[in-house]
Amino acid sequence: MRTRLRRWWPHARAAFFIYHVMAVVILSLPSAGALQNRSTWVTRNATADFEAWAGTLRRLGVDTDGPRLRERLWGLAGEWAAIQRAISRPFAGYAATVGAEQGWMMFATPQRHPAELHVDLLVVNARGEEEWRPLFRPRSDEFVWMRWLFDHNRVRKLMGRFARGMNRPVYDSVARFCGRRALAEHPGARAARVRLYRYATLPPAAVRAGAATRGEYEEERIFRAEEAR
Amino acid sequence: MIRRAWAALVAALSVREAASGLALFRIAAGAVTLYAIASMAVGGIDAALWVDAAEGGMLSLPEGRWLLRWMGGPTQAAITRLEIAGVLAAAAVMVGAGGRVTMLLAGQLYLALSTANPRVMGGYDALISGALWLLFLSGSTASWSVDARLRTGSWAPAAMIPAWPRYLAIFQLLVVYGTTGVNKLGFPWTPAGGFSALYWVFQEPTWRRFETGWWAAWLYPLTQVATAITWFWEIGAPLLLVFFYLRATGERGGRLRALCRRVDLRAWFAAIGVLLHVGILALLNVGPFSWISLSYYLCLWSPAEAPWRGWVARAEGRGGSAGPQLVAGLAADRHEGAADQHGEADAERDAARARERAGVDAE
Repeated sequence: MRTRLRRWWPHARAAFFIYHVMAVVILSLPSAGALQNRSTWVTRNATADFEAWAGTLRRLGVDTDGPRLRERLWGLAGEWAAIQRAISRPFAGYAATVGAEQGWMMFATPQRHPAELHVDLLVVNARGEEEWRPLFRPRSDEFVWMRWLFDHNRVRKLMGRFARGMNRPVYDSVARFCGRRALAEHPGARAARVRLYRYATLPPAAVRAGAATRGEYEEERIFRAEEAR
Repeated sequence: MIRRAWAALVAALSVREAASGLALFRIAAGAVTLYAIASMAVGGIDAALWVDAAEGGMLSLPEGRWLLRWMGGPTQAAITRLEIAGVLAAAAVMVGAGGRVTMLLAGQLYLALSTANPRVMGGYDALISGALWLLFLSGSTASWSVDARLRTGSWAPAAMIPAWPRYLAIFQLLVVYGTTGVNKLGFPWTPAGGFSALYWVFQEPTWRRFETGWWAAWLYPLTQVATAITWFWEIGAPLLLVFFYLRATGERGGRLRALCRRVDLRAWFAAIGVLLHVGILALLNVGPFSWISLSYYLCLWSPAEAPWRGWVARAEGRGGSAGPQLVAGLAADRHEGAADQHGEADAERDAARARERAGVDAE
């Protein structure tokens, strides 16, 4: 028995080696989940990318534009997703069990339309008037509330997702967490406001010339103290 | 043809080498795992991210993987217990205590924690759990470990372990770089987009450590060069597999094979990679991604070829009776480092003699 096992072990090991290599390769291909999230296809960033690629293709003689290119690729992505689901099936369970999962879409397309999470408090000033005061701004040295949390790489990832494709239930949950916590830590505040500040980053010449980014607020959520506490 | 290829594969996977190579990988991966868990627990970030909204966390979370489900789901109590166990297991991986069981345990604990909130998982999570799985397959506690000390009386006996888990680690590293390069389809990564990607990364606050927008604008051409190098280097990473193949089949001759034996492409690949990761560490906060990636670099060379083999030899020399055993380990390694100096047959013969003397051969 032992002799037979010793004879077969190198072959079993080679078979496992090939299986693992195939799992790594197939699972590292763009996944159905990543490709079929429509919200990531219609962001300002993605739209700018499609326009730019369409421009390049037009210069090469291909008759297309941004929206048409997007829809063509969306169709292809759907077809690929069906194939990817089928070929990854024999490996997904193994990878999930042992921790060999893949997925390496890192900095695939740099964000040029960031959405910063801003948190403000409604307070009563010395003149007895209500005013909004900034509590948190990303990477600010002045408005540093909960910076220990917001600066962590995992929270950065979560915040970055709001610019890449809005998931409202997730955003609502984050906003509620921030609003409640801000009010709990500032008992004198009347309300907390959580918003996304969206802007387009500037090209090198504009930055060198000292131009400032101009953006707008969206997805405003206000939490009144009497309701939140 | 297929039979011959299969036989060659079986033979290649039967190679054994000194355990010090994967021991270094084990120590580095254990340290990164420890940091990745502790950095969540110490700051209280775990309560916000890994605990369900019903218990004060930021998001409503799924039940999690089997271990987290078994512990009762993403509650503060379950997460705390998993973190304590995870930190202990990671420390045991680092010092090499408990053999393969520790690697498996650490891997499952890390999986349970890192997948508790799928929305905040990073690339480094998969690299860490993947490293722990490969270490489980390798028997890397045969040397440079508490296990070795208990078993042989030496911290660093020249034990032999299979080389194929190290091959898988190399393959994983090259797939990470290759596919991340291919996935970089955003216009700014390409020549058509003016290689402007890194400039745009430095303009927005998601990942940068400090204000980098202004100097990136003034050093724009430099960011373009860095973008181009990064993109081509990542896309070209899988070509290193060709280098490994040509080097491993050096006896077949040919100019390309001779070139591969003369010029160690790995050194160039690693030099660019180290520069890239040092840049990431200095400018961007992407967690321990660079640290775990660099840990995999330790697998690029077999123990007999590694640029740090002299340092290892000196360290093992201090480990008591490791001197002759180290010679056994290095000589027994069937890779080019040994074969270059003595010829492969000599290396094999030296290895057999040294093994006989040392009497160490850990499976």
